[in-house]
Amino acid sequence: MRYTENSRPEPTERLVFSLRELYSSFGYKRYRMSKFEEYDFYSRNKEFLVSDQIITFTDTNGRLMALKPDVTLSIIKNSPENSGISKLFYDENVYRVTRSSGTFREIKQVGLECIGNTDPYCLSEVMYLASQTLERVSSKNALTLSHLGILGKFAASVGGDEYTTARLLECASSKNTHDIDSICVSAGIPVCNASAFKQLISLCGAPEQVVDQIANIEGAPDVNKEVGELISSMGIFKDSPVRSKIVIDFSVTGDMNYYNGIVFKGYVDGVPDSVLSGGCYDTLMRKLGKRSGAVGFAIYLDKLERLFGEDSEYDSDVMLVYEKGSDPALIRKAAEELNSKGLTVFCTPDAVKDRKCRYVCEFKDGKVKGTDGIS
Amino acid sequence: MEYLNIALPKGRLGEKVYRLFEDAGFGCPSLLQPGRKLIFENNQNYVRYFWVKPSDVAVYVEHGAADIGVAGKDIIAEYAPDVYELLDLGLGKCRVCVAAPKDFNDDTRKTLRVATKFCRIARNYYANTGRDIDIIPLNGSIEIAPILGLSDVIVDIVETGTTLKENDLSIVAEIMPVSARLISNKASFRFKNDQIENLTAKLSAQIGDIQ
Repeated sequence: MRYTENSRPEPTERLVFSLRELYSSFGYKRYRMSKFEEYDFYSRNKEFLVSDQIITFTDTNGRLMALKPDVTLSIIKNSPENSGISKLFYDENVYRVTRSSGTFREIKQVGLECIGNTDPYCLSEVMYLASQTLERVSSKNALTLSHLGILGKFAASVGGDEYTTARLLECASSKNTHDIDSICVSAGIPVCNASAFKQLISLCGAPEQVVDQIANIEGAPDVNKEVGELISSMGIFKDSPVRSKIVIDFSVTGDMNYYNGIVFKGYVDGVPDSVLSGGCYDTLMRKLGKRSGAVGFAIYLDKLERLFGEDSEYDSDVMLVYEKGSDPALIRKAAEELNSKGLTVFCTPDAVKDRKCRYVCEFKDGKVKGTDGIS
Repeated sequence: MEYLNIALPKGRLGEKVYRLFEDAGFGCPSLLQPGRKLIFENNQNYVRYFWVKPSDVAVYVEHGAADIGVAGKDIIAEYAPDVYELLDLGLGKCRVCVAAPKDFNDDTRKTLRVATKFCRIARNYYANTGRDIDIIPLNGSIEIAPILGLSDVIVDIVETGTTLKENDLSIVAEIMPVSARLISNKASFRFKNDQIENLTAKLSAQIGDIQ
């Protein structure tokens, strides 16, 4: 069949089906949610949102509602305590102001959350699913991970106040080691205090190699527990072909109001920005009054639009220009004959200039003319 | 091997930066030939250079049209692109400063009017000092804004201070030092890691030799 772009599922739609299947096979349950949430919920938790601008409207009962700008907050809000482990996935639209357009956009987001008494297996399973998600997007991918506990302890070892620590973490996220000395000087901290931190944020490579390098950093704080967590999270990838695509990189930072422990970002070749983001977010759970742990990730399908974007060259295969007054049944029959060759057919009484078609055929006197190039 | 796409800032700084890349082994002889061409390739060392407007380098790199590029720290601070900042090249050194007419006295009872093309830098600077300001965004000839009464002060790049002097302005405060930085697209850093790390190491060695 040559049935074209319009009739086939879009690559992102196929990806969503494939991810649903993947997550279901690991026992994750689909979580459907309403598009709306009470605005008050987001206004109390604005610090956790990507953007504090939210589309609001007044419901028929007078309540101020919001179109969901985020999925995770709603899942946490509705997650019961003391119910063991809850494994959920979603594919939902969220409504946010994007940096590039500066206006609201509907963004398709697919992700999963593991909430409850999470343990090292839960974490490594989520990381494994993140890597499998990237594999389904493109075989040329990279899952980069970091540990906020390690970064936090190295940053604290430099000394200085909260503002200085925040500036140091900004340097980490941009791999900027050259501005650290001036940050220390302006904070009245000896430059030598930052030596271990600089070495840490320069590290990037295969997990086993980076773990060894951390151990050799002179003046490093005690991060044995955190390094142990990194090593144990990698266990699931033993003998896996995707192991070579996993990189430890301390430029993956994450908001410390939200995340704690291991955080990760996923990249695929051909997309200039990270397409997947996730990690442990026990800190967010505490701030929302929950005692249990949580780990999850989301993939942003809007970022994949260009990756899959074989631009559709034609609107239809055939433009069938019929003679006015022709018998509708005969026009339909002619179109169906072309359909049977796998072609999409646009029937029109007059040629439409801005409609791009591979072939233009004429239907006159009960016959289709100009089909020479059609096999 | 894939080409490494490099965005360079047009102008004097760009030529200096190119010499540094050339000395590090990433030359592209056609680049300095006169003409209006903007894209140059060298199929010996797989580098492809683009000349772009200095303030656009970060845009090209952030959106992945260029894998790496060279941008001033002022541009990086102003536009806050989501890129890696791999190296301080130590070229194009200058400062972002607050300048005002020589007889300027900050009347703290009034909102301070600040003319600048660096709106974010100015806003952050005054937010830290707690001063209430109005930003007057301009794209050029910033120095005349206080002379014509459009603003009280300006926030702008100062290299030698000659332009300020000639317009009877003087520096009130220094906000940040500026120099050219090597920046990289985050995804390119993953997928062209060897090429980018190799280039960074060679440039770093070059800078070390110069300094």
